[in-house]
Amino acid sequence: MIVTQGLTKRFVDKKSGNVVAVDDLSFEARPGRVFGLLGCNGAGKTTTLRMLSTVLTPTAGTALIDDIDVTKDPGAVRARIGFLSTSTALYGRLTALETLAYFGGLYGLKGAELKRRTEAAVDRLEIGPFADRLCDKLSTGQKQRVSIARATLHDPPVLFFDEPTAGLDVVASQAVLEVIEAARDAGKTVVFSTHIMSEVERLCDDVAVIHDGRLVGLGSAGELKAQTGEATLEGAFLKLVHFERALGRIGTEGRA
Amino acid sequence: MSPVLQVFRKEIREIVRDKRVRNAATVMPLFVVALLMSLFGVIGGVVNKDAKRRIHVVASASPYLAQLRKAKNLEIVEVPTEAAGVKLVEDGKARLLAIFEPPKDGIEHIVLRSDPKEDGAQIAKGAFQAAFTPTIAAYAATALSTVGLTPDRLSPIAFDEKPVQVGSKEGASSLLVSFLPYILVLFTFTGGVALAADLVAGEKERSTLETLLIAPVGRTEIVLGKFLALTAVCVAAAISGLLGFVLSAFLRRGDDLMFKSGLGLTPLGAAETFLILLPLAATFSGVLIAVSAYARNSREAQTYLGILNLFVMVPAVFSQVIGFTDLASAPWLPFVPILGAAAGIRSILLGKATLMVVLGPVTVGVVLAGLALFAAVRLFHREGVLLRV
Repeated sequence: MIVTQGLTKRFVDKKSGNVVAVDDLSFEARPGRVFGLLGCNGAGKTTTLRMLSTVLTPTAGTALIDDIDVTKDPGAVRARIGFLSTSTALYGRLTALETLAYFGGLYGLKGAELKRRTEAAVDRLEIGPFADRLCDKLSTGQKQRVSIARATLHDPPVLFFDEPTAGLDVVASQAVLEVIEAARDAGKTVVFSTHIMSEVERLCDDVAVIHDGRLVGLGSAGELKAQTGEATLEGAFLKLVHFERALGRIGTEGRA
Repeated sequence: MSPVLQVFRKEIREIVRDKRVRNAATVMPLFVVALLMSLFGVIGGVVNKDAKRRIHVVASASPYLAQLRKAKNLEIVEVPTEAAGVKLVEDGKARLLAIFEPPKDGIEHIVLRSDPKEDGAQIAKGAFQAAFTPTIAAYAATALSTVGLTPDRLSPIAFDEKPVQVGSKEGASSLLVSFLPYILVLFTFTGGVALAADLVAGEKERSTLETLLIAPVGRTEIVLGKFLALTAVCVAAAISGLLGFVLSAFLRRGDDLMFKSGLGLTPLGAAETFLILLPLAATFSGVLIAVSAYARNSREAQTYLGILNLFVMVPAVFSQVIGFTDLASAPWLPFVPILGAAAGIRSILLGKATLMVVLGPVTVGVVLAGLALFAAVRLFHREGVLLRV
């Protein structure tokens, strides 16, 4: 379970001065459901996920992952999360198996348990044929499968997917979406960041629309459509964003 | 296994598979040093052999020319005229031309013609004059005896040399003493440079760092793992450089200027050298990681490392000539970063290492390594630095 309350991140930029990347964000993501973060590029989705995964420290507000505060016990939070995005790369000079062994070890897995989980991940994601190949030599789709195995090897109760299908072909994207569905069905809390409407409609039980760091819409896809009076999620999204602009509440530029 | 060791082991595994780093840390120091030293040996041999033997002379009936021909270390080449000999000097085919002129007032006059800018000519001149030293000494003795004097009465001052043994009897040749500390310090640094840019800045660039930051391992532990791996590479580069000297000493079999006294390293000296190099490697490692953490990407890191290279080169080069200055015995020298370490290794090679000479650089190295490591850890905790690309 994830609970954020007034989550805020400000940066000091030499050119732009103070930049509010995420502004007063409050939401709840529950186990067994997929929570979608929907927003344009630079809306603040990645910054939000980085705060939730303890890579960035919030400037204000709180974020609890399974009741653990991200600022008070970041180590315990990191042990309970898995993170996957297209921007998190693999070590090119390690093989797929070595990658899993390395990260498994960092997550506290060892001996027979590490071996069992690695074998299960290799079977589940069909990594076997290229398990001993260096990651530099793998195709994009193969790399993504290894990344999924790395992110889920320790069986975390909370999973973050930051635009995980960006740059992938249809087949590879399908595999990722199936992993997300499987995680949801296994009762995990899943946060899924994207700007692809079809993926949101397929996967997300709850959706938060973020624009310029602020929450401008929250609810299921159906609720968002009803709130805006639009027939499609895309229409609802655009209306929510334009609504913000019409009110003139847009702040600074250059959000992460 | 602790996270620090896991990070260390993973880095070492990647290093071993990285041909560029592998070459910079092991192959290059070993073969560059062996090649360089062998080259010095060959050049030294050629200089000694050639310049001492070949002297060009204008054909003459002088008895001194006949005597010169008997000198074992000279090869006399006759030319018909002075002009022909000068032409050879101008063309670089002769180093020294000797012209035996008719005696004046009973004194034989030999005109020596050479290019004063040529070092080889000066060596040839010295060898030529040395060939007449016994003749001149005998002549002086005979002349002095006619007035009842002996040659030792010719000067009011007599010099008696009694060497003072400082430290042990063993010691390396002066050429090796000037080269080895410089090479060891330099390779300790350059071995690590090849890896440093990739270690953090490269990880930022490739987005692998964020994956690591999300894992339940502390940032200090990540820095420590990387620090240990980089220190190991720096030490490996230094040891490879040293092995390069051993290899070249073996190849030359100690018959040239560089290795006439062997390497000059006793087992204790080798241990002391390693003791000095270890904290120096740790210092370099800490600084390199801090720089790499600060840089946005590999290219920016390489720019910073290029500048940093000067801060290592200057004291390392100065250590080669420090023996010519009074600084070699300055009490504060062991506490000067880098220079103190190079000077310490120099003292060890001379067989004159004292406790302070070893402990000074070790202490400074440990303190600087700690400070550099602290800076690297601090940078790793600054998200503005760590996540910028």
